[in-house]
Amino acid sequence: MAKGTTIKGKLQRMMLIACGAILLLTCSTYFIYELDSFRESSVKHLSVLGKMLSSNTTAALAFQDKESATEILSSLKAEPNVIRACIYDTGGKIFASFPVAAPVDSFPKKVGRAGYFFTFSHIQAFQPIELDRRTIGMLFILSDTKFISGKLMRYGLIALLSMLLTLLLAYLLSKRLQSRIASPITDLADTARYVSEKHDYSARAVKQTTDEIGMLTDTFNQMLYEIQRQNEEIRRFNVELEAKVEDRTRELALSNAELEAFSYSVSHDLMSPVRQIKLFIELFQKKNPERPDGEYQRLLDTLYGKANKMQVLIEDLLSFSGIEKKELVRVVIDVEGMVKSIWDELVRMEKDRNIEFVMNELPDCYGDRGTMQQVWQNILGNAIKYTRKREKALIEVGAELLEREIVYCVKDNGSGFNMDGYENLFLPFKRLHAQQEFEGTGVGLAIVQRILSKHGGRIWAESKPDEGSVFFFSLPIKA
Amino acid sequence: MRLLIRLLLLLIYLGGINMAWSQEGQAPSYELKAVFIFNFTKFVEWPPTTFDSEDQPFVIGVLGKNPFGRMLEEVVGNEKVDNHPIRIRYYNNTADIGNCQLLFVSDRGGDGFPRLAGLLQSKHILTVSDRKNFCQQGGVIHLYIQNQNIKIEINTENARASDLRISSKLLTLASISK
Repeated sequence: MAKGTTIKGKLQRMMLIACGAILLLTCSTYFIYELDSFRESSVKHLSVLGKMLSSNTTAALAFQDKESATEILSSLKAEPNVIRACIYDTGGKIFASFPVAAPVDSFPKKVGRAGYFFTFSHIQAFQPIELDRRTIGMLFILSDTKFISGKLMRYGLIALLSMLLTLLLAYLLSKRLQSRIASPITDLADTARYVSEKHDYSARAVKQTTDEIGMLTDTFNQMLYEIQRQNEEIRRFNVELEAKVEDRTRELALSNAELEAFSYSVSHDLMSPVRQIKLFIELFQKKNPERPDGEYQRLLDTLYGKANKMQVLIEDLLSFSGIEKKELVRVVIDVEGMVKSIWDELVRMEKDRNIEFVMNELPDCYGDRGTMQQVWQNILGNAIKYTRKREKALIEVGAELLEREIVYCVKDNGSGFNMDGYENLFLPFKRLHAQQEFEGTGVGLAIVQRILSKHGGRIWAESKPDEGSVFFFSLPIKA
Repeated sequence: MRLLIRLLLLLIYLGGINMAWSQEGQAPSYELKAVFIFNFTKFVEWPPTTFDSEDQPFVIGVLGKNPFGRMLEEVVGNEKVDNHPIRIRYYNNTADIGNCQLLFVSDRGGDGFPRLAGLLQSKHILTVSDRKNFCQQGGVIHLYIQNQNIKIEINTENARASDLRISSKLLTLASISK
């Protein structure tokens, strides 16, 4: 911290400046007064001198006695400040001069008005010489003002010296006095800095005075106390909250696991009766090769279809709940190869349809081969399924490589869906289309989402009814 | 007209001075002496009993042959001593001297002055002259020439005898005799 920016420094400077200003003002006032009184006294002195001389020289002038006049003027020798003097007669001619040898042209050529005039370093005086109220001549005196400047110089020196001494004294005093104001503030600032750096709200500033700074210290301490108290409260709340969340999470995980285990075992247990039902229907049909006619046969087929559907449903359910337990084995997957083979297999069953498939560049990903295959199968299968009503289906896959993830997308021109139902899109057993329109269990996208989230990825979609949909899913790039 | 005369007189006076300075031993003009005579009235105090009234004239007298011509009148003109208007009288005989405060005793006048001195003293008359040994003969102020300047000699005892007070300013210029 620069010295000039501390309160201590500011206080000290303030005191010094105030002191200096007052001193300067006082000194200069006194200086001006002195100068004025010097001038006044020197004019007075010169005036007395002039009057005396003029009075003394009246007779000499009246009786044309140059010698006497010169002698009287020579008394000016005793005046160290008088440089020159002379007497003019009424014709303006110099009658007598001092010093005697002073050249005529060193005096004013014209007699000036009576009075006293200051020039730069001189005083000029014109004193009329009167006889019986009649001016019979004019006395001129030129006086030096060096003594004034000398006096002022001496005075200025003394003033300067006393000013320096006073300022020194002021400095020493201010050094002592400022601490009474500055030290409580500095302490307070130190405490504040300590608190803000160490976040130790248990620190307290020491109250040194009972003035505003003392009040500030009290308020500051009160604030610290308040912050400390609130901090503790927040910490306590946090700890409680954490414990509560932990409890809930544990409970939830437990019940979730129980539920999963339950649904898995139920599904698993349901599987074998369904298989047996199908087996028995097949057996029944084998044993009666001559097909019974009409109604009987239709009911049997329906029974088989329903049993079949039940099996698919249970398989999906098992697969859905099985993902949680499944260990992912991550490898680098050639996505283009995988998509191509899946596509070929899917379209083999749709030979009579007109489907255009565009595959853009798909970067390799890092993931579990089996489940990722499931993802692509599901999404591409959906695209084929929901474009069924199109005369010409258009399906396009692509990808974008971002900084931390790869985003794959599958676009179709199928029947799409209403975004109002988007929140249900990835929930199991929730379907946006009627069973009669598009068959399915409603577990597919839920499985896909589970797989992707297990990989650390996401899935989302955009769609408009009757215009088609785009499905995006992302996978993190292998670190 | 008066101004013209004054100017003319001034010229003459200046010429006189010049002449006085150029001609060794010659007395400077009486013009200057006339001025001196007028100036003496400023440096000499007459006793308070001199005048009967405020506006009584101050008389300057010339005894004997008048060497001033009209110069005295020109110099003194309408001047006053205090409040007393100055008048000039010319006296041929001592007997004519009446009320008079300042008397110029002409060099060219008769030799009867020393006899007069006592009488004049009692009348408080300031006597001025350029006669030799004037101060020794009972006169108060003697005008003489030295280095072409008019010098003043004053007999202070004679002044005191006439009850006249002469300013120290004048005394410092003059040579004093007793």
